[in-house]
Amino acid sequence: MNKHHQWLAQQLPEWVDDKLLSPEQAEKLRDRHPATDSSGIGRLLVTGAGAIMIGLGVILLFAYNWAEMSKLMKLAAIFSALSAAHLTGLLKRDQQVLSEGFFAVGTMLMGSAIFLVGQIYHLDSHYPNAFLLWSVGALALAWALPSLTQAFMTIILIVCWHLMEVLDFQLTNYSAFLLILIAIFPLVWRLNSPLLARFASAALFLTLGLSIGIVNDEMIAITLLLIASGMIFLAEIIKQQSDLPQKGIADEITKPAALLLVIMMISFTFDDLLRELFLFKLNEPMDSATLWGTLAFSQLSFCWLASKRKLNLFVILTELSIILTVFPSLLLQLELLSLPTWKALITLSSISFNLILLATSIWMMFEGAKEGDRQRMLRGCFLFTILAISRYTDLFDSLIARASVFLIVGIALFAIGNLYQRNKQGGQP
Amino acid sequence: MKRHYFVLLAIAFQVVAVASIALSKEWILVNGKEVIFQTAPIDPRDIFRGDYVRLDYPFSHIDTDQLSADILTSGLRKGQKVYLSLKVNPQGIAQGKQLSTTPPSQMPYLTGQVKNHWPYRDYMEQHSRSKPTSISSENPVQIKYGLEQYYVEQGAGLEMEKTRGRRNGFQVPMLIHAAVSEQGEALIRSFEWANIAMKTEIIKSPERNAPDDLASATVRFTLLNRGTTAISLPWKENGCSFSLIPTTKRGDDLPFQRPECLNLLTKTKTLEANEQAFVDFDLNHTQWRVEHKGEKTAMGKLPWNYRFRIIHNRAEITTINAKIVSRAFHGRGRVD
Repeated sequence: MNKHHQWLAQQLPEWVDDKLLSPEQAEKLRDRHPATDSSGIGRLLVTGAGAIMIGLGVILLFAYNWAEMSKLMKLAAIFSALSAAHLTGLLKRDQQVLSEGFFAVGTMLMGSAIFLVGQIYHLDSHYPNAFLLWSVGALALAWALPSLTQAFMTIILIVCWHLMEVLDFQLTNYSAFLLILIAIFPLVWRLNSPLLARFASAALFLTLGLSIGIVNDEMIAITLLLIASGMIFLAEIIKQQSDLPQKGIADEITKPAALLLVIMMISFTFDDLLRELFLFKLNEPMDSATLWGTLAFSQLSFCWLASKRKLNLFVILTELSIILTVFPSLLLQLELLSLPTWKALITLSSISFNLILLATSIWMMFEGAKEGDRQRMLRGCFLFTILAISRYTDLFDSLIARASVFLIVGIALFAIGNLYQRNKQGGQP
Repeated sequence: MKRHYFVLLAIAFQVVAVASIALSKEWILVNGKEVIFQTAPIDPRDIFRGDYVRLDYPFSHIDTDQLSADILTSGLRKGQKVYLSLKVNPQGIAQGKQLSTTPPSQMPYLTGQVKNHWPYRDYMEQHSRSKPTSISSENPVQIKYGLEQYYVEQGAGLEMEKTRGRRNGFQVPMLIHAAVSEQGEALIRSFEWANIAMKTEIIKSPERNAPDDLASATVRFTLLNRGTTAISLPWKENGCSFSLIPTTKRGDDLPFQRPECLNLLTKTKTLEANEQAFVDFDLNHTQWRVEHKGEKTAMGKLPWNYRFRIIHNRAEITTINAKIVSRAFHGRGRVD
């Protein structure tokens, strides 16, 4: 429950008492603004964090490797603790937070048990596998309960596993990306948690970005752009299904994707960088499969949205990004474009990105100021400033020109601030 | 009620998945064939599992002459599964014989994983845009067997490193007792320290740009009885009980001819507790010249990857529980 819902929940009884609203109207208002996310998520997360700390404590306790303690005693201690934690969780099912806490401790103890077995038998095998096994254990419980805490733990463990595979062993490990996509996203859907949706979405980009970066860093920009666009379009499709209870998570899935897209669009305003990011070579079959698969998915989703006339500004910006970057590069790959023509097209794309972002930022600033939408206005101002700073570095070579940039940006922000203030005051009685 | 079953199943999975690993390892420890490996520990720490010593075996780095024909033609990928056949000496200490990509017909053997592409340069040129490094087919293949870590109680790792000794002083070999399964999976059962310590030192280094007959170093190899009882070993004058062997066999000109050792009687050298004995090898002697690019070349003028060790000629010495072998060194006087 966020602060607005809390405020509404406090105010409604007072308004009814003051005869401003009838009880029926108050009920309608409650229905109109239901509390999103599962209630007590804060308590759940705090309990989960506590459980993780307990588990880490146990891991480090066993890491001391007590020489006086026999192998059998160590194993008996850890397996008893693991089973006891889970069984207590089962017995306390009527107290959700407490039960989740015990299950989380149990899953942490599973990790302790894995490391303890490794220590006892001096195992020196491929150590990221320990995290994979641990994450599968957490995932099984996340589905069986179903549990938000276990779901968060699973994502963290998958990301840890992936980081080790990629950074320590230079392995692509696409399995982490697939595991999140196939096993975590359906869980996000089932639990209908916006926070988990955002977290899973960010983990998805991280795992994929690292996988591609390790084997073929030339493919990073195009793949991330296509995955981000696919998710933005998919979220938009979900939002259009008015009867789906999961509508709330759609926006959250989009947030990391949208942030990534904006960062990429800003970087695309640099001509040299854009050329470097999109001059790639398809080395591995997995690269081609990812590229064509994500492109087909994003374009089919866009066509569906276009056919339903559900195109908003962000969807259009996403599609424009694909048209300006992915299509010329694919034409070059298929040898339908020569390299000089491609370079010329990419320069045009870079200019287009500048104009698109400039227009978008101005529109967001003015619309936000006019409508009294502070968030939109601030986002517009931020985008406008970033764009000005980006061009400041490569367009202007005299002090007068540099001064003009600051003056223009300053005046624009000042004017927008005033417009916002006036509209805000004008709206007040 | 149905959900309860799923929860119980998930909990059972968590317990059984880990317990099955422990059981499978216990099975190997109980039923595996006992093999001893000679090694030297180094002390790092694992954030999740505490103190451990890292163990480096002679067969962790396999030279070209120990590779099977298919490896020499196809190379090896990082992470590829390989098999090392073992030769066990009369003391029970196992040494690597040949590395192959198929399991050897005879037990015991070890299963390992290749740590880096080999030959690295060729692989990188074919598969990556990264700059090739200087690692070529002349370099040994790096293999991991899962025997490279030994976990100890906190603080004990440093103690073990102290016992092992310093790089430029006496070093005590560590003997790892391992259980090897029929599939080549090895697990450490226990360890013991050798009753002898060894020191490899350069007592005379050559001058820079010295002529061929002065281009090589003089190496001293010292043995120390670190036990409490006397040990005796076969001993000939002029260091003739010892041989100089290359770390990688490259030509047919080895072993070195040593006319001064002919007709020498083998005596017995007794080392009381804490007593030392040493042999010196002046590598400038013409007998130590090595065939390189069609010429007999002084050891000090050989490329850096030509390295040698001093070993005792007798494979089994009943009073000593380890193999007597020096650290690898280059003829110019650099000890590994």
